[in-house]
Amino acid sequence: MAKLKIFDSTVKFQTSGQGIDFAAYTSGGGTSSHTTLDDYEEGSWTPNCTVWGGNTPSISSVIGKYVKIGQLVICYAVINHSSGQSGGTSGYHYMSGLPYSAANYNGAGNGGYGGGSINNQQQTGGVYVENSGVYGYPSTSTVVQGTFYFNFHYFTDT
Amino acid sequence: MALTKTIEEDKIEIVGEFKHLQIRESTVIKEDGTELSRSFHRKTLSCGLLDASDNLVDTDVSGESAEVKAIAAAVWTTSVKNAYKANLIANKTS
Repeated sequence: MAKLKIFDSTVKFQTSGQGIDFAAYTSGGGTSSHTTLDDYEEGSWTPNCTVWGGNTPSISSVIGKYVKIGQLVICYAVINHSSGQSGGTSGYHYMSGLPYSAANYNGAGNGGYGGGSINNQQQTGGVYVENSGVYGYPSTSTVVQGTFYFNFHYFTDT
Repeated sequence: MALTKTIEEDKIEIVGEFKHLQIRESTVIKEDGTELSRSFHRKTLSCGLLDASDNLVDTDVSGESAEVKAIAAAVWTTSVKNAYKANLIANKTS
């Protein structure tokens, strides 16, 4: 069996839509767009943060990183509130500006296209992704000052 | 030996029924015309966001490039905004 070996170089596809086809390793075989890894990208994004009610907290720093593998997008973000903001009894963070728009496979009226976690070393909570933004719900339901870490993932159609 | 740094929006995509704008910015470092590195920064823009009274507040694109402004003006029609507002309200959890 011939094996492709590449030393000290990079595989480059000259046209879009090309990729690595894993059909031979997939149950049932065959060639399909569902067995071809045709996209990879990593980079940064800038989270734009508000809290419940549309208030804009004082932010001293933000970090946003992403990796896209096929249709899967994995994001990491850090928000540092330099002043406290109360979100009331149902407080949450909202961050717009995701690196990719989230695909909705749930049907109309069903939010939460992706998920993950949020924590600030004192409390943890869940997040859900919708359209071009992500909602983070700390466990105490009150958004307070400090550093919040977001980890989440979702699918995109692009 | 001349190092150059260029930043350009090399991808602007219109995504889905709500016409989200998906933008990629590339930062390219070259030495004497030969590319040394390329890094990406991405963002998506929606046509608006709900306020506490469920009004759709238009997204401020004043800081975006002329190209993005023009695309936003063309695709974020009243019907798109109304549909997106209805979607956001339907998906609200609080």
